[in-house]
Amino acid sequence: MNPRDAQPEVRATPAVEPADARVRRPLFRKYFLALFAAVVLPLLASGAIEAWFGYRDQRVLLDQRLRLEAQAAASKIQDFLDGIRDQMQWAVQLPWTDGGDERHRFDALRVLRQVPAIVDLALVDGAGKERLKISRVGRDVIGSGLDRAADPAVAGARSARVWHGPVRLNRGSEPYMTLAVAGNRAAVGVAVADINLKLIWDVISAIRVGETGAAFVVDRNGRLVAHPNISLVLRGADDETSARLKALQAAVQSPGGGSITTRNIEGRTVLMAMAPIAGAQWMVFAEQPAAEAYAPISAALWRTGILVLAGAFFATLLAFALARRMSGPIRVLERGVASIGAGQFDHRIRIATGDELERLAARINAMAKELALSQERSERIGRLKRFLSPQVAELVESAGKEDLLGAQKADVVVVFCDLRGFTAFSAKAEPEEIMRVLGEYYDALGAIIMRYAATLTHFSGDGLMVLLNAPVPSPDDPALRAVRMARDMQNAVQGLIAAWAAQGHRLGFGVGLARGIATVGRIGYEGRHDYTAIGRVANLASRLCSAAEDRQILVDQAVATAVSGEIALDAAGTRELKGFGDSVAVYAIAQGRAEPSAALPGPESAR
Amino acid sequence: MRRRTLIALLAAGASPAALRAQSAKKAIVGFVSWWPPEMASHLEALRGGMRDLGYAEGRDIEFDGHFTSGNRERTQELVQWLVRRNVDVLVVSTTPVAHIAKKATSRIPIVMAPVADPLATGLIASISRPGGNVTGLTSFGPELGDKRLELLREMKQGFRTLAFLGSSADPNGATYFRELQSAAGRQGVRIVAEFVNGPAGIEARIFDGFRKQGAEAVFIQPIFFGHHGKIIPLAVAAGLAVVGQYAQFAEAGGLLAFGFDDLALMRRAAYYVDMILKGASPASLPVEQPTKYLLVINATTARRFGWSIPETLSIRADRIIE
Repeated sequence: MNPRDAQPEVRATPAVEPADARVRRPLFRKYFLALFAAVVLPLLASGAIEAWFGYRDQRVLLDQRLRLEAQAAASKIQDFLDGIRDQMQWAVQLPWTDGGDERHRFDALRVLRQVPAIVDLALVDGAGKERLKISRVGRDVIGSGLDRAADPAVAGARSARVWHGPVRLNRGSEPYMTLAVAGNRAAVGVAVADINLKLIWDVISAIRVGETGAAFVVDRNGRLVAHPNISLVLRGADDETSARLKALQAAVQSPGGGSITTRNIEGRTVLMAMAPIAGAQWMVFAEQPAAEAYAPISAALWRTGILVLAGAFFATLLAFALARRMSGPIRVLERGVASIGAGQFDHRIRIATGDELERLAARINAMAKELALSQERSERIGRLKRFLSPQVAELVESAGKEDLLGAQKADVVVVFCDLRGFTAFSAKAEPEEIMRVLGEYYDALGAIIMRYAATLTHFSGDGLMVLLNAPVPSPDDPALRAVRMARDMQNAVQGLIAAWAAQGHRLGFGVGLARGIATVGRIGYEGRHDYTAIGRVANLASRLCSAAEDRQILVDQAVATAVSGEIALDAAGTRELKGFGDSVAVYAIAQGRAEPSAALPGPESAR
Repeated sequence: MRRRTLIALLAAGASPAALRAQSAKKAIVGFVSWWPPEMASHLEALRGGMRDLGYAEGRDIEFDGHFTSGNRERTQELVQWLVRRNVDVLVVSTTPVAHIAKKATSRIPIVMAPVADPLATGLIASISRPGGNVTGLTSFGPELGDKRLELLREMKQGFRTLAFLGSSADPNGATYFRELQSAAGRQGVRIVAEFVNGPAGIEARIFDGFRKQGAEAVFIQPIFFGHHGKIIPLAVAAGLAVVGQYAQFAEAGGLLAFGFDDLALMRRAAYYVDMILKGASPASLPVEQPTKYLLVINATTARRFGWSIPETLSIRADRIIE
């Protein structure tokens, strides 16, 4: 039977649906996780390492650079003060005489002209008397003779050549400082200048630390002297700002002069370093916005972030592609296996991935082919077993010798047997009882027929016909085999008959055997074949069976000849058998006598 | 590349472009000067200062400038108009305008550019922390009286009498006069003074009066800046040497000017406008005092009136006009 014709609907509706929705952990997710881990984790690790070492290197670099910037800024501020000091030196060149004030006045005026930051310039002679005071906005005072020997500016300059006063606020806003310079001899006296420190703004605002960083100056009392944001300076004495500046100063000094990250006075997070100005005892702070200072590290982090994103994207793509590559063929396999499982053995899975999946598909295809063959075979064997004993059926099937079943002439032994008194029994017994008796009867006979590998041609009611030496030749002499089988049958059924008798059923059993050439082969129609033997020998065996009495096994001349010497026979004379005339020599298998018997007695002796 | 972007972003935090993005509107700067339209260069200097700070006129900023020639009513109307217009900053020149503006609004920031003595007239609480909505630049011009007298005395031996032309419309008139008087007392000089209510009152009669009282020079209160083209010929005609605060007085035929660079002050006012537009409170923006002083002497005028220019003066002078 062709499965294609039997189940055409299997192809249209596969028994198993594609099971994506029900998959607990899809391939895509597994691949994605694996690839993500493979791509992104190293990226993250390298990014973290880069950021960490980048930060450390950058920190060291920044520290050095910021300190240099602070020193550079400090030296610029120092230059500003030194420039004023150098100009002031011109006013302390000439010794004082009683009337030589005019020369000094010109010197002082020149200094004032040269240095816009000087608001007032006083000249004190060697004796500490103020001889001259030139002012930019106020009145000049000439020859006041004021004794300024005790003035700390004068005293300081006399002892150290240069004296820097503390920063003070003009009108509570502008930072001013007194700077005193002594000449190289005591006689030339001292120049004392009031300096408007607002003018440092030109210097400080020109200083750039990095790209947007700046510098600012704080005096020894924590007061802002100079800052690019001039308003912060002009805000003057502000306890809050001063406290903040002092805290900054302390913070920067604590790590041994290194730079620190902190909030500056404007509240921005900056990196800050400091350098001192010795003479004025000021501090110059250089600051750079942290965001700018750490920009390279930020850039590295950005890079890593983007790489991680790209990696994740790549992993997704790859996972998707791989999962598709896998799940596509797997789905094809799944559908194929479902179809094959549903009995569609001619289904072929087509996968051309060139990998293990293709091999698996080929295996499954081969399996389907084998399944188809084996199903066909088992169907054939099933059919053969209807008339052949299982081993013969297997033999015929496996050897592919079904042509054995073809029509031919063969030397066969036909065995007929039936029960005596069955018609009477069946007429009065209950159907269940009849079927039980028949069941016991056939169980017993079937086992024996199988044991002797005989071919059952047909049975009807209580009679059955068995063939030996066809379609497969008997391994030993068929006649001898048939007689032995018949004797076993008789013994077995007699046992049953004794039991049935105990149940009140009077039954007997007779067997007839004949040997000869018969036409053997399959008869029947599509799906319902039997194997049978047609010929004189079959009829003879039937007649002999009919002629046999209970317990009796009757054989014809051919059988008797074949078994003589092996089996004890009793000549039963000639019988008149329908269709065979009246001179058929019949022998009965001797009962209760041991084998081997004597020579086959001739029919004559029975006569 | 990335770093640059980052820095550009950081830098943008302080640029007018970012300001524009934040407020998404043009800033309007009102400008009112008591001085006459002849001083239009002041507004130009302010504009230049804003340009230097990165503002583009028409895109980021708009100016609404007015010169009132000392007309109080007109000044009040203009200030009120600008307050109603809700300008972002009000820049005012001279003390009278500052007072009018302060009276008109306590909300709109006012930038003085400049005002002679904001402390004396109560415009601000202190130089370092103005405390209200007024901040800006001060000249402390009256305090230069001593120096001006000293310079005049150096130029003429036996200089005796100085005339003062003040404004009765400006509270600083009294401040100038007081400072000048105390300086005159210290230096043994006599002061004769006349106060007029606005430049319209300046007539030849006044200078003749000064001359008759023995004055050799006249100091013109800076409030009359811009009218020097009218004043100086009148004074010269009366035989008086003119002393002023701004260089223009010397340039226009006066004897000397000692004070400040007015254009530099106006340009500096842009700093305050910028800070205020960026959100700084005028209350905590310290008032700036002048750092640079300017002495300009007109040698021609000096010769004409018989004034000498001694070497001590020529060393001091920033400019001597021959």
